[in-house]
Amino acid sequence: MDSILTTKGLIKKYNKFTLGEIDLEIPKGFATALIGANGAGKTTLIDTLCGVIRKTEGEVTYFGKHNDIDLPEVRERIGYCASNEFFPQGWSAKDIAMSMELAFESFNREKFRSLCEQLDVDSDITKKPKPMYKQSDGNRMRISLAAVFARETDLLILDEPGSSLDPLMRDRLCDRLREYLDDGDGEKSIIFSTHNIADMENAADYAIFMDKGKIIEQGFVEELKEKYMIAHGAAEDYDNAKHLLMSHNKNRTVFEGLILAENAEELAKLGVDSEAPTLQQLSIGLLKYAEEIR
Amino acid sequence: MKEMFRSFRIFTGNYTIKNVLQLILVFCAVFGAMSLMNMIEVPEDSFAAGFLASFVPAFGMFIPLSGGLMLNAIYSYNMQITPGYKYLHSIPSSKKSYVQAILAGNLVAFLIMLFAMGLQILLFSLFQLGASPIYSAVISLIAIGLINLLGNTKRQWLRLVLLMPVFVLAGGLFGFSAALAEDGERIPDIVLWIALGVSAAVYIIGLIYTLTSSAKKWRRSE
Repeated sequence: MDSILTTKGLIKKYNKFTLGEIDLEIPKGFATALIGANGAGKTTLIDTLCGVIRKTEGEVTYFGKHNDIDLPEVRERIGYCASNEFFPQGWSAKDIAMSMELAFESFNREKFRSLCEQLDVDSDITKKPKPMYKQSDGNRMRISLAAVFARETDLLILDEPGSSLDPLMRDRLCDRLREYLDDGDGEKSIIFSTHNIADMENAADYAIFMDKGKIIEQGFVEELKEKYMIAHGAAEDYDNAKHLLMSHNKNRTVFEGLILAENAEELAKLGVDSEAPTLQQLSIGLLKYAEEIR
Repeated sequence: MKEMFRSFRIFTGNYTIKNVLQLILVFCAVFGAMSLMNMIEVPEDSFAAGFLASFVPAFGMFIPLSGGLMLNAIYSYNMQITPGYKYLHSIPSSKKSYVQAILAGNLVAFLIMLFAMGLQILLFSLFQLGASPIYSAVISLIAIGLINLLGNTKRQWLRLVLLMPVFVLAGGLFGFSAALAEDGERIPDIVLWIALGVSAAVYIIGLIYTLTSSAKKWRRSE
């Protein structure tokens, strides 16, 4: 498997928070979701990978050969978009188009305009376009996404792209991400973060789960769905099953919990059924498990 | 030069320049209104004449500073709390562009200062006002020098604390000179030229310091 980005011993230290040590191999040609609760370190990891903050230690390799994010050819190939206030708040779509056209060789103003029209937001030719501070959170994100998709890139790194979008727009974003990967024919990749994977489940091929600055699990979604299962049982069976549950929800009548697939047979003998989890169930189960063993 | 202004535009968009131009336009409009009133001989004791006669020189003192404020906006993008920080740190050759934008910002600030001073010279001589354009040059050079010296500091409050007296000085100097003029006196030229020399030195030191240190300080705010 080729990697689009690898990290080795990556650490970013703040006074009250440490990210890492992170060892990652992000597969090329796929969409990778960084999943974690608020404060898990997703944004810190993304900002460190994109070189907008300095790493404390460790190595990051981009596109299999470059170790320096500051190389212009590396920057040109990465389309990065932060979760909020990515652009100066006084800027309108016109300022953004002008600045990006000067900053990035591959920025296509026509494409930006057309994307803005598709996303129903101000473009560079809108009469009296509103500055970013007058736009809603959702519109700000749409303009930022239009700007990032208007470039020719090989790797998109998007921080919480769906968090401020409405469900319909999130669905369109998932389609857009799939189109991006399809157009790349295995050469383009995406990394995006989210704390609510339910809305972007269809967009993720590979998942990295984070908790308190550490990676707790990672793998292809289909493989993870084979590795783990969700067990459902009656409340009276809970005591017999609990030693196999990694995390669980329970009420007076039923319980549900995350288990390792290898334990499914044993649970079946106890009369507890298991099924393949959705990515959302897997996320909640794993993050809860991490919280419990912390 | 082309590269320098390219970087400047990457950092400022049209927005910052537009704001500065709007400020200058307001100044020019007031200046035009005053000239018109002079031509149609509006009585000097009317409210409009009195208001404009006091407003224009005071306002004019701050026009040259607008270039400094624009420069300050460029420096602010080196602070993580400023919206736009992440975009400007993710562009190719961002470090080089930052230094070039600062250099271009200094040039633009200097040109704005000269332009505003030219207007002031016209204005002050036309209406025999007691202020001298040298005041605003002194204030501008000190302000821009301080912005350059403190632009990359992590302590934003320090920049504010040191710039505040400069702004207060602008108003104070105008008031002081206006009061002197009423008594038929003025600040001796030699004092003004010494002040100008000192402020030019602050400006040059600030410029040299920032051009030699900004590249190292880019992305140091976290």
